[in-house]
Amino acid sequence: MTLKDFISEENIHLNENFSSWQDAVRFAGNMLIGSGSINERYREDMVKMVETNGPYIVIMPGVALAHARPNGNVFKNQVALLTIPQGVNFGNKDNDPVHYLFAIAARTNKEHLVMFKAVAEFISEEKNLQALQEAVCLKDIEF
Amino acid sequence: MADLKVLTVCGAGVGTSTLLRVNVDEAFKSFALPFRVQVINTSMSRAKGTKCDLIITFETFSAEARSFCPSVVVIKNLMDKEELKTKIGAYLKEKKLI
Repeated sequence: MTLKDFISEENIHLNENFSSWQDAVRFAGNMLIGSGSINERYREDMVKMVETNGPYIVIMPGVALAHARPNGNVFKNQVALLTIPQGVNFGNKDNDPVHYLFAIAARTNKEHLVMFKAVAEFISEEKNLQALQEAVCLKDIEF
Repeated sequence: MADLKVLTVCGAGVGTSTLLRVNVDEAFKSFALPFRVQVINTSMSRAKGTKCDLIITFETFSAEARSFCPSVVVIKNLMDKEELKTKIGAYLKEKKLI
């Protein structure tokens, strides 16, 4: 399983800027709602996760992985991807600002790991992040 | 030598801590230790009070982790396997396990 198994065109949005990290996470959540992958509760749970636990979801410089416990609010295993040229701060002093936001929706905890691994594999390749940075359209990215 | 019990901790206990567990497992294996290392991923709310030798987590959970676990390693970049290996190595040396 790789990222392309979980990511579809309707869940990718390139080059959008946000005034707060909450706006960015909700934007990604709204894409997932639009594709029938989650409901509003999961979107808000992703926001609450950070409000409750802090900005640890910014797992490496420039990259955040928004997620929450499924709790029956996830209908399709999907990843949404947002690129943010100006970056948005989550309050993580080591890894801010975030330029690439992945919102991960998995139906079960087990599937969570498979999807996290797929995303991890993608972002561990420098050339993939480079492609995201330069991408103006979806064809510029190889998942 | 008794097993070493290690917890990887995040907020939800499903995504980040699981990925961290995979990387931590790998890092420990690279030291080829003569004892078993048990790595479990969990959320902070579940981890609280659990007996363990070491917690590997992120800055935001470190103070709470220190309140019930004798050793805490804080990871900045989850994808940086060298950071993980260096910090685990330092822990093992400090405990005279290598």
